[in-house]
Amino acid sequence: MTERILVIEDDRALGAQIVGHLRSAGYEPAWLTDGDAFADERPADYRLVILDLMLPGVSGMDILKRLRASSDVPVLILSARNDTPGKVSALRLGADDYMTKPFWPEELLERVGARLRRPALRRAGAIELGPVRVDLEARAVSVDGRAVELTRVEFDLLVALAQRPGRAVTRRWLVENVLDPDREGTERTLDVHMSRLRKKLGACGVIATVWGVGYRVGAEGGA
Amino acid sequence: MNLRLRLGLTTLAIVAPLALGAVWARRDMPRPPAGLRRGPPPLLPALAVLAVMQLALGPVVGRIRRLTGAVRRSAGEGYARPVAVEGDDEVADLARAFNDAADEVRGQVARQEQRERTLREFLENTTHDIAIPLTVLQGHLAALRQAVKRGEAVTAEAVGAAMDEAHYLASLTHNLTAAARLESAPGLERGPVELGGVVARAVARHRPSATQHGVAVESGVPPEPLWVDGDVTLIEQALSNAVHNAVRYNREGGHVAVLLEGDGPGGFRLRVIDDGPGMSADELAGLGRRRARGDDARARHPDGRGLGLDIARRVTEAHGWTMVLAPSEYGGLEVRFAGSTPDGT
Repeated sequence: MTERILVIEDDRALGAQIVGHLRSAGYEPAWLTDGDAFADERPADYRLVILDLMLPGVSGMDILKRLRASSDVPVLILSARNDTPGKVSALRLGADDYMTKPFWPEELLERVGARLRRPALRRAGAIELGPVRVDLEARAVSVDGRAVELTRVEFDLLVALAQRPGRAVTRRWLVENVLDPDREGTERTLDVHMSRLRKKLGACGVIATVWGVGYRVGAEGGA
Repeated sequence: MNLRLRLGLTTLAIVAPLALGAVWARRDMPRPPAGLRRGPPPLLPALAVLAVMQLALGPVVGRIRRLTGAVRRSAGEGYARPVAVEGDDEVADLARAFNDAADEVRGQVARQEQRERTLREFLENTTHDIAIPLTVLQGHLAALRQAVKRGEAVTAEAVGAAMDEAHYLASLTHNLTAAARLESAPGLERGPVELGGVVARAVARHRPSATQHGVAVESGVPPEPLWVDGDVTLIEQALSNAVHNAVRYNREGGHVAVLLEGDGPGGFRLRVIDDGPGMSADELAGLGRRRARGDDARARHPDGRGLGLDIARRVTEAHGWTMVLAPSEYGGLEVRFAGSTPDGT
């Protein structure tokens, strides 16, 4: 289903660009050029609101207050002023994120994507990552329905990554939080465990090495 | 009315009623026995007291007059010279108090003049700093237009060069705002800041430019939010500068990683590492030195790293954190920020 996004931006050139980029990325944008027009909108009709703070008519902050009084729709603030009080006020009023102008269209799309991403598929104590299914209660893993035998550490490593799909997890965090610090707490040992885990999961390539950081499962940027 | 006259009249106002009272009282007293003389009229001692007071106050009044003259002269010279302090009494205290006040005024004026000088230089330097990349950008755009007019293909490199300048301009604008904030009082606008979100925003800001250069930007943050007390705009700018440098001075196929980690109880460590060409020990030492003044931060490194990293350093110092530049384990540069979390998260 196409995601509907409400853009409230008074600058016509910038507003047209934002709408154009959102449409190219597959979203369905609606565009308001002044704050007063917001009174006719129903927030529930949108998955995200992109809100400029400095608007003619009703200010962006007032729109944010009204939105938060009746809706939990994510709000991404656009601001030409790179000042802390403005950002802090917007976040306190319930904004989910903010961007300071100038910005690249790709940056906007990445931030929009991050807000709209749906959580990984979880069903009754299990996490599904493409062909890999991690059963948290039974501590069992299967690839394309085929059971895979994992050691305790390998399973815990896979779960640590699977619980944050799309996000890189640092080597140090994995060493400190998954490996037994008394027996095997080094990054070298971690790499050995990951190598074995990958081999057991086969060619599905669900675990990616992230340069300088550590490891990640799932497509980059997932929730 | 001068002080001497005022004191004289005040004394008279006190002594005269007493003396007249005494005269009135003497009227009803029995006449002294023969052979005894009535004492001197009570008005005479009163006049004597008045004369003594006038004599005693005379020098004090003279000193106050001299002090008044000196204060006027000092004010006329912009409080450049202190007034002379004579003696060790209340008048001397008054002179010393004036000198202290004059010191404060001189300090305030000097600070105001310094601020105005800084602002003037800031505006001049800003115009200069922005004019250069803007000129380069105009040059790129003019070349692109000519290429299109001649029917030549517009290359990704040519567009990329123009985008680089636009990206640099955006970064410069943010840095100049940050520099102005750091120069001003109170400077920091503190509040709770979640560092994982700061990392996400800094990476998102530079990823488009990095992708264009063939540089991959990755990040890793802990699953739990990591809060610090600080100025979100300045912290984001400090990290953004480190990421910008790591991307800008990298090579095609290079990498940049931003890692946020807890560092023991109540601490954090935020690292930006790259596998670019890195920097020599001399360059590192040069960038590591704190600039004497904010304006000097603008004396940019030939390749432009000076301003951004200097602002990053000043932001970390303003927060009581540390920033260390060192060779990264991958051969490039590592910029390491470290500090404390307010509640040990």
